Amino acid sequence: MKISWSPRGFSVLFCLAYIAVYGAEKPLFRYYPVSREFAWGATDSAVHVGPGMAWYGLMASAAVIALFGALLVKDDWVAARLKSTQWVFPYVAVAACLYFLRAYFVQ
Amino acid sequence: MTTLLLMLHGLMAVALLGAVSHQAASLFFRQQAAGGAFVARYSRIDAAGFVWPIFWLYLGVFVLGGLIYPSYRVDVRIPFEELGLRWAVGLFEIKEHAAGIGVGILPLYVVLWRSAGDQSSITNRRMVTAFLAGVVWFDFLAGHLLNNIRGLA
Repeated sequence: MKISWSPRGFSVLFCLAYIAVYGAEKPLFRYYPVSREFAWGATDSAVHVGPGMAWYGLMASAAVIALFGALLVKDDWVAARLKSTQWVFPYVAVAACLYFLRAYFVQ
Repeated sequence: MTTLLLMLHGLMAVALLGAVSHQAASLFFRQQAAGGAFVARYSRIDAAGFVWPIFWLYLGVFVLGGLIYPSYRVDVRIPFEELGLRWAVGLFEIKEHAAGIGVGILPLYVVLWRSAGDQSSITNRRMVTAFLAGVVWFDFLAGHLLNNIRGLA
């Protein structure tokens, strides 16, 4: 059985999912580099050594959502619906990230 | 080991920078540039032939960056925070998120170039390629700047 997926759908959904999981702080997991531990979700009750890293988990969350969605839609359908606006999504995603990160640059 | 990975990350980034800059130039300047001018010669390439090298180089740079990220988090970011260099921490945050979004649009990038003869997708192709080129340039310069402030141990 051949599994079909939509590359366009994946990319569009990845951008949207990335904004959502980053904004809502919903990484699939965290990594603690000092103790080399993984932990599910954004928080847990366990005490971990050193700083945690959410980015791998954010990527995984967005990728899982995008892959699931990309398996449900046809690429031609996405292309027909979005026509010449497919390029907008990564720009919007970066703009959203800049908004979320503004506290680093504004006193 | 971290230093070796960082050097590989940087060297692959240079190759990626060259490839994606050529490809973007071919999309934006090929028509306008006169025959013998540098810009014309720089942009006169088989842009579609750069797609898979850019795809694999991007993934390679991304994976190597992901491998050295824990060292940054412990050995570089904490001193940045202690020195009050919030802008430097923010700059790296932009770099990581932009790189991640870039990975997410690689499937779209490949599909748009696979249909390179399709005139209806020319805006998408141009803007997505420009996005990737912008991310690669920004991440390269930001990484270089941050490494100059405090390199990995």
